[in-house]
Amino acid sequence: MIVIMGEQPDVLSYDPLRIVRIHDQTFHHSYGKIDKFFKGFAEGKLLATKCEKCKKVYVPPRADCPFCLADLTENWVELPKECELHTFSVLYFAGPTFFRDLPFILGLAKWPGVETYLMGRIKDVKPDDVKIGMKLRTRFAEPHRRSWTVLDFWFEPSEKETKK
Amino acid sequence: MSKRVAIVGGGLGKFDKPREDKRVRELVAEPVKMAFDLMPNLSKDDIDMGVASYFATHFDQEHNPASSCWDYMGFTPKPLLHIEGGGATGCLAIWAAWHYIKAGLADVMLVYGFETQSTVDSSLANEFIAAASDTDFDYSLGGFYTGYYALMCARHYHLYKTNPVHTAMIAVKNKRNALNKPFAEFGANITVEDVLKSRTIASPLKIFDCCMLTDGAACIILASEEKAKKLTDSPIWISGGGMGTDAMRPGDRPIGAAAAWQTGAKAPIINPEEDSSALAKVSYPDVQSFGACREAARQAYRLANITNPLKQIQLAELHDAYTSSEMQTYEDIGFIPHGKTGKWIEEGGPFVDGELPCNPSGGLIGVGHPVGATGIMSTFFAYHQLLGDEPKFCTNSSTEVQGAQRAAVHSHAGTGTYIVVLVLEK
Amino acid sequence: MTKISRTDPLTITKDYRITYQSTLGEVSRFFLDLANEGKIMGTRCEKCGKTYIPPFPDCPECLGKTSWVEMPKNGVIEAFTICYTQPRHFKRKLPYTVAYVRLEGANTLLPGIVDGDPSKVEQGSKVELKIRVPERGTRWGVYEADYYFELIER
Repeated sequence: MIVIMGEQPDVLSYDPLRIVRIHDQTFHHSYGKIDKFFKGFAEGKLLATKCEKCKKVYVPPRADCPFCLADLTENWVELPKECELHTFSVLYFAGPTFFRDLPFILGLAKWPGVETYLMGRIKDVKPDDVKIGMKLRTRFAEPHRRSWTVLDFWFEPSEKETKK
Repeated sequence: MSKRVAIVGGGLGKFDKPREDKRVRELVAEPVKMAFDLMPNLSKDDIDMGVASYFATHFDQEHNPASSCWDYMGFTPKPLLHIEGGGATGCLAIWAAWHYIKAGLADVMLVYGFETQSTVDSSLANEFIAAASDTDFDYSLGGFYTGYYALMCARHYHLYKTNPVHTAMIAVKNKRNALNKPFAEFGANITVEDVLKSRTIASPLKIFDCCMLTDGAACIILASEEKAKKLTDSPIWISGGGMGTDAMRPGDRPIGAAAAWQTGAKAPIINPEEDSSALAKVSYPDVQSFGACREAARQAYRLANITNPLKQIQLAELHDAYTSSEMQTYEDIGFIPHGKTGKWIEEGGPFVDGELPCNPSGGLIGVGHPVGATGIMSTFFAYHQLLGDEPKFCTNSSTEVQGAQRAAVHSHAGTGTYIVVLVLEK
Repeated sequence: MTKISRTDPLTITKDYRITYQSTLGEVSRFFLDLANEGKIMGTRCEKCGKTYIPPFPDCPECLGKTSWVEMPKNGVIEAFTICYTQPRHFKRKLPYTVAYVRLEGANTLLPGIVDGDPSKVEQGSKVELKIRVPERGTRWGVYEADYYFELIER
């Protein structure tokens, strides 16, 4: 932890005494055994892991099967580009890191045969036009806009939706 | 044969944002001093062990407040545990202390809970709390707790035809219940229309649907049967306790509680009005439900011999970080079958004069949510309701539930990730 | 622009700045009197008479009320260590001595930096507490030792 302390802290009040302290942290965060999911964006792929024994597919990917604890790091499957919206919310407030993106829409996307739902941003649609059950397609960030985080993929209404 | 455990006392500090008049250790001493003042025949020597209940250390730069508070109050060298479980920390700490006494490892335990969230602005505070979720996937999209609960609420509205009026009624109820509580700051006389017109934070949740960031502390004293009878004429027994877990990501809910049940058809039935086929039809478990609550309630009711919660429990203190969370909890704590909560709320079921008053304390929406103290505050109020002296801590007796014999206390964390249910009995 | 520190496994660098507004609560008086009055304030329990410095607003013995008392500035070193390295934000001249001092009449020990040559510091050395008056405005916090100890020459 790096603490910037050499500066005079600002005083907010005297009774009681309140001061401002700044705290800077730099993390080196590894994606460990599921880094392939993030590398998949560069290939325009949304990847999931599959347990052959339990016949279950997981996204976000799990490196170990939660049912039988088998190692799934060699068992990646590509998800279809099209998915369905299970539920969503339009956010009008967020933490400081994401404040500048407001308002944005978060949704849970689902695929047939996949056990779990993937959370992602929903773009290119008006909040009033988002409906549970609508068909979506996955899009990926251009190379120069990659953040190497989950913001590098998102969902948009699929062609079937836009034709309606 | 494990021992019976009772609640023999407790204390409550002022919940406010901010509590800048005290540092954390001074804040914790406030309810502890009150507890000793309320029990003249309890001395510090009677306490065998402590449990510190708090959630976050990153809200300020002191990373071991549990020890600082314990030594500040002069309880060293007695043993101390720190229990953490997100929003469920308060009841989880009481649940843990209950186990120690049942096992005969301590006779009298002091459980103190606290939290300060005013050291950073509310946007950063929400981001900190969101860091206690899946950081690689959900949080990194800009997700935060109100967003997660909003996603779950939207699904509940879609499946069960509940709507914003139902959740608004819960906000009206809880804020009104908090009006007669001097220790609380968020009581208000609002209407359903006020809620519906208020600012949307994450659709469909409005600002009045959400609990507020707060600073505060509370404590509870537990004792074994033998000691309890020496310390008080009216011990209130913890007749049942349970704890359940579920997936951290709402999107993983189908495989969370399902790890044991696999499908809704195999989920334990805790409400005699509900049946497995109904659950199997509604894609259970899923984001609209809390499997961990069902599991915790199943364990607690089994120990407390409760087969019909709605009829056998007279009041409930539930964890309403969001009105929609309280609404979803009615189903998985076994009060109302899945899909029927809307009607129950319309009929006034959870109101103070209803079939099963929920949150007569005001809940988190009415009093705030200093995380480590909340479950303890809920237990404190349920305890005093059963003792029959709840009005002592209020400005009037409008929220008193007279003649209550049994209370359920519930505390909830994450997106339904850890849930504790306790049953208190006279 | 997210920085990548490793590609196998993929490891990203996250920078995070937190701005805290911390309260000194009931011990505000300690810091205020230090800077404004040049005094070291401790607390004394009204019931048992124990004196605490650093201050305890609630007495840990009996959880009773305490009142503020001005501490004398002379004391004795009960424990000390010489530091040959320091936290990144400290800018002290190395090596320096940190000691726990029993001020006269106190039931607890007050930590502080001992000014001067570390080789002259001994168990039981008599010290005098000095207060460094800041140059620009008032400063809060003991990180840069607004008070420090000076060895009393025999």
